Amino acid sequence: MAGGGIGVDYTLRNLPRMLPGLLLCVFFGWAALQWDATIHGYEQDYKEAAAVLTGVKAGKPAASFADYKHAKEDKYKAALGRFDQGLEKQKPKKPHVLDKGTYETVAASGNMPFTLKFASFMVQIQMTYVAVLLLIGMLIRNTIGLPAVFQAGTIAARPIIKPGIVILGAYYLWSDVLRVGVIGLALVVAFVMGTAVMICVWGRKGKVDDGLAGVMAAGAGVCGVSAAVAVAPVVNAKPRDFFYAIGTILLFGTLCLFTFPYIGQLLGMSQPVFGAWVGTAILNTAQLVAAATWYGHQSLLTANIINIVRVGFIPLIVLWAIYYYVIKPAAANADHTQKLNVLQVIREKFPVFILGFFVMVTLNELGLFTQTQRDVLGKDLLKIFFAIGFAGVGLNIAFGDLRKAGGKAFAIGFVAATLKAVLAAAAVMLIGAEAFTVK
Amino acid sequence: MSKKCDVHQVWEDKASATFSAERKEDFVVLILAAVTVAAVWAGVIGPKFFKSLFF
Repeated sequence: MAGGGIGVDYTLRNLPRMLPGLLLCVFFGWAALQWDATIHGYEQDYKEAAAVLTGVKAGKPAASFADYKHAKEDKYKAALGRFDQGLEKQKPKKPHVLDKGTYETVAASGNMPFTLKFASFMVQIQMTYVAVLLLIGMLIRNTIGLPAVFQAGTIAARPIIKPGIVILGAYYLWSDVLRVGVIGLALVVAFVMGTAVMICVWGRKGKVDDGLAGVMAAGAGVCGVSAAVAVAPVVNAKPRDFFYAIGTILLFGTLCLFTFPYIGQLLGMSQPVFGAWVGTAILNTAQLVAAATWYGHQSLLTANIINIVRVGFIPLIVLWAIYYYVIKPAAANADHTQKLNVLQVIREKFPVFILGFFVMVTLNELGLFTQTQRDVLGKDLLKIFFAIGFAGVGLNIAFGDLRKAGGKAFAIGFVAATLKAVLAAAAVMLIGAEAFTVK
Repeated sequence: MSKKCDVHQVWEDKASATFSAERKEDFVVLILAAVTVAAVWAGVIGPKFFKSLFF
């Protein structure tokens, strides 16, 4: 799905209906970012406290807080001096200094405070703002529930991920986009289109309705809900087929979202490799972006390019469905009245927001952003857009929707999507990090 | 046959409405992204903005 929603009508007329849910997502997103900033701050304290404790445990008498602070500042000034003289290539970062209370507690007790241990553990298990928004959002939705007044707004919050995808373009050069994009294109053709074609052929052999198999092929192969909606009229899908397919896509995506970051770690995937994997294997932009962000910024940079290539394939999957389900059978029946209007399909189905991403890459290529502006756009503001969007995603994971997965096509869709994920993991690991790294 | 046509039409309408809404959504996304970039260029949003939002 191109961004997590099936077309939200952002008009002033709809604003009052959306506002409560949007505000809820803004608040929920802010709270999760606050959590993220807090645990990362404490994690830095943990590392610094560990260094202090090493000295204390080695039997060195702990320095007073003033001496400790001065020693850190002197060390920084010395490093800065070496940098100014050209003896060091990288400008030294300002040292992290514990606050007085924490330093004195650590120095006196010789133990790591529980808060710091807890925060470090949270960072270790990747309980960042992404996980908090998705897990707590899902928990709220499926326990206390989401009051009707918030529903329209939380759905409208999901596409707010998309401006984040666009402004992330400030981090790329065309050489990166083309290098990773060409490999991404090969992966998309091989795995994404391959899965769609496999489901169509397998569905026909297994005597599954064209409607069900076609919608599932588009959804499981290319781009979740948007592709399924685009293909539904071509294959005369019944409403039941559509909901089975959507249920399967959502169920698969949700499982991937919560398991892939841990599978990636178990397999020792580097961030770019993981980004390439989720970009190929996860079916839904919002879930894919969430999983990649969960894993790290480099992972997101790679996943974003592959996702852009993938969503660009929506018109192509519609063309394929028209050919496979309409033109080919018509030709077999000597009916030559069915024609394929390629331009019209591309014009109607192309997700135009990805053009914004290309404009951003071009502006960056022209040197119109400073490094600070790039960081403000691609790290700070990106987090704000993503946090609001992920809040919408988490609050809309309803187990009731996932239970709609079913029918013969569920087995086909699920097996095909799983097969794609396994083969894609093997392929990206073989290709290696160098090919997917955005420099 | 007519039932099949009805189903087809229903989906055709749904797909058309969906893509029209998605197109509108994409334009809103592009406007939001453009305003954000303009704010960063103009210095309205700077490097201290993000940190200032949290305790």
